[in-house]
Amino acid sequence: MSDTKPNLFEGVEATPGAAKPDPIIVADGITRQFGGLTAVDVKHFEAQRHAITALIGPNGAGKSTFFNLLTSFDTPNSGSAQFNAVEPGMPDSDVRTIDLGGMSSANVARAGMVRTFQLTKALNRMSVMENMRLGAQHQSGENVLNAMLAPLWRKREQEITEQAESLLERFKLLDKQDDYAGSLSGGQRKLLEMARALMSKPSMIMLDEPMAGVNPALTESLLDHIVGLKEDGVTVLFVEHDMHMVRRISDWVVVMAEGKIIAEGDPHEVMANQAVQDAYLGSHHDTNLFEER
Amino acid sequence: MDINDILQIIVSPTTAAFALAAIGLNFHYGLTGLLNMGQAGFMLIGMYGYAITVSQGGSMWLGILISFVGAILFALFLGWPTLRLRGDYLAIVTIAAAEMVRLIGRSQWLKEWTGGNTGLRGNQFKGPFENLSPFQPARIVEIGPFSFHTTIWWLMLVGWVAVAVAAGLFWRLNKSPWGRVLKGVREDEDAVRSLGKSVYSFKMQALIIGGVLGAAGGVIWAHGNAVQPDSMGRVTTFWIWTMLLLGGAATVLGPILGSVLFWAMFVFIKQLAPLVLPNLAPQQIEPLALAFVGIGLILLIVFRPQGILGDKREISLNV
Amino acid sequence: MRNANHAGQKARHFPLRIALLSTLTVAAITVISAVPAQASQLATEVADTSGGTETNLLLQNLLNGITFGLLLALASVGLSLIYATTGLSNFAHGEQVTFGAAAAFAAVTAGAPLLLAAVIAVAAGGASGWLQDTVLWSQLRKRRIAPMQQMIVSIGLALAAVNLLQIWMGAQRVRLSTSIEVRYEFGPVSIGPQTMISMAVCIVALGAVGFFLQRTRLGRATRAVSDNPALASATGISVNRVIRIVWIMSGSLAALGGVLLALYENTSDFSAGARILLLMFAAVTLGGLGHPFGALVGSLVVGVVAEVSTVFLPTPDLKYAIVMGMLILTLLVRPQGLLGRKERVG
Repeated sequence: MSDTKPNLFEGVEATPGAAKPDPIIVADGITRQFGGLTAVDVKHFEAQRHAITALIGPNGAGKSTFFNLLTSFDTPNSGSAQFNAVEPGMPDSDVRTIDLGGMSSANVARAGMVRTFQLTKALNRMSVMENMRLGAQHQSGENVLNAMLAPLWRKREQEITEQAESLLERFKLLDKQDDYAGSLSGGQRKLLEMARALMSKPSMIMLDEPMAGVNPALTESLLDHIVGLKEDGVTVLFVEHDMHMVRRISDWVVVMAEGKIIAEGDPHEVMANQAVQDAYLGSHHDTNLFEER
Repeated sequence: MDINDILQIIVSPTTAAFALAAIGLNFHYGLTGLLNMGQAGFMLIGMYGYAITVSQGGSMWLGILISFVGAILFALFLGWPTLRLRGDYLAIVTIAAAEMVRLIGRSQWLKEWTGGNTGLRGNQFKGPFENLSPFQPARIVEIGPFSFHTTIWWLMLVGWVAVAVAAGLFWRLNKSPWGRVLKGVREDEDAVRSLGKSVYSFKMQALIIGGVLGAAGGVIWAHGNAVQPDSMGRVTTFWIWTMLLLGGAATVLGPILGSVLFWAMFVFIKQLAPLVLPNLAPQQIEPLALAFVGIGLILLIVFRPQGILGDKREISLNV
Repeated sequence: MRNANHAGQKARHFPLRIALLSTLTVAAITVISAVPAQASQLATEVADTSGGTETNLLLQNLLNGITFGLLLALASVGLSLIYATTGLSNFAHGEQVTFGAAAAFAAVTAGAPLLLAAVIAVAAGGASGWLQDTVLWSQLRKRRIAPMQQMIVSIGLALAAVNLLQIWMGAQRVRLSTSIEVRYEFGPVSIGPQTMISMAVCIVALGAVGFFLQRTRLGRATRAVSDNPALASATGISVNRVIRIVWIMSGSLAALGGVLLALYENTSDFSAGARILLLMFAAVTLGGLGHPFGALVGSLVVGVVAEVSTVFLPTPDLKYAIVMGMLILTLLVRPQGLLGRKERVG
């Protein structure tokens, strides 16, 4: 895929906390302590718009915690983060730079930054279609007073359903739309969760270990879907262990270890970094880090 | 054995009042997964709000308004600290708050308004409602197996219409986008949060709606009986839970069926007990029937948590 | 709440110290806050209802509160232990307390002396705990029925048990002992010998529970199960055996609490335990859910607040309403309870 990559990262230094030409997220001095342990201590972090950025690192590096902090599912002990949903070319009045500090996780999602979870949170006791509809924004029928009068929301519901159908078709789940989500396979639930997140037409999607527990047969199509997201103009930030996958699809790699960002760079070059090798080899020797597949 | 007694209890205002309270609990538990263990407290707030207003000279409509506003404030008071916490905190706070309402109500402190532990007698607040009765003149009217005074007929009419309206409301909201969010919350709050919904606000709305229905049930019940704080203790809340789980949580008709079956079985056991156990003293019959309620609740949870009408795939108590 | 407590060996006495400290603080605050209030508007009112001086009434209530708190602690420590090891909020625990009083009453009626009756009640309570766990709770755990579901089962059990107790005992009040209590004066307060013995029994029993949890193999296993059942199981502890023993302990402690409560109040009936169920929940929650020492601290706070508040309340029958209000307020400002570790509970 590297040959099709537009060079979004031209001139970006491969150093931790490097500035990006058009960052969608800028985080500063984010720390999070649990008891006496510092789980996250990120001095500076930027994620490039319209790119696929991978967040990697050995177990316990603080990747998921950092993810939770960025999406307000957890509160940092210190630090701040801005989310800039403005598209280049948008009129100035539409500038939406949002301070993530003190914002509820629901508001973060509404601002255009939607996440998925490491342990899939498909709502198993609802149908696939209901899961999808739940992902949509601007449904006035979610207001309890409007909800009592169906004509007020039926038209929007129709639009949502059509959008859901086209997404389900793309994710090859359309024939399952009336099934309970709990009846899907693990990989299909991951796909459903991703499709559901897209219902809100986010400008950025954060995927927490999208490959965890997915049947290898489905991996390829999942990878294609993630690349497809980028082609639709959605910025992707994902946490992953599988280096093979990271190299295949990501434009930029950020490496965390012991709560800090220790390296950044091109996916094919960053693994040559001595600090990265030490961090990985220090924790699991059996990782086939350098084996080309 | 008198089949008429069973038929009478089925249509009685008491059954309607409990059906309303159970529909309210269905909003809490069936739809949202909230463990409200203080539904009897909402009923009590409702009946106090209504009866005190009317007995102090307010109009019936003002009484209803105050009763509903009371329930809304009570829901806000309960939900504010607990809806952000784990589910069992709501359970403990609701049961404690309901108990607090009962203890304050029965206390000698506000006796002038609440009537203390004897409560408020019917003639102190039933007047305005009974004057609205279209069934005049007041007399006993017999229809089929049912023989009631016209004021009871009037109360039953209003009570069951209220039940129908509440069930319709549940049906409508359950199938709306609003209900969809609540069903999401019931299963996994974080998932719903990640999709941009303010979970806290939705839970609060459900708590308020269910609480107001509980208050409405309380008003109907007070009209069928009187305002008696001690008949609205936590055991009453447990009955409402039994009704909801018996009929089927998260279903439209479950709470109504549950209330009807609960009271019908209660009367049935009371009539059957002396025939099966002739040595039983008369004052032991009611406790025996209530003991069966408890055993029934255990068996329901263990063997049929979805109740009679529920869908096992949808409803699960793992909240 | 049930997360691992990685406190080392040295930190073992920490909860005890905290418990002692909090109790003293609460007592001190109560006394200090009480003094100016009584001096003003309440002076005349109080003087009317009490025979002695005002200090007398306040201290007397404080003593009553501590006594009641100790009894409550004895009754509720089992509730806390069960919550800690199984995650179940047992709504039938009140009936467990009543059962103790009922069994003792049955024994006394059959001609047994009070002491023997108490022993019989404790044994019967333990047996009922064993029986429940064998036929009901262990089966539910085996079927993987969630704690919330089990909580509703316990509600069903409470409904069944309170009514069966009513059929057994009748609706009237019963007395375990017909002796009329003499009261000894100790400076500004008075106390009866029966109450003093009850308090001593409470302290010994609670001390024994503390010793069991801190110093014995089985007690340490119990704490390990409450910290992390999966980890405890992995280290070779038989979780089900521990839980069985906790049920037996809980049943006998509740029964003992029921007997002492019946003696303290000089009367008992089928709903004696149900009446204090919410006070027990308040105590356990105040102290910190699932924290056995929390049950002691919480109980003392509940007892003292309930009794001392009668001095200030417009009518004394509001004393339990105050406790309920205090419970709600605690959850608002400190949901983890007085002794619980601060963590995200939502």
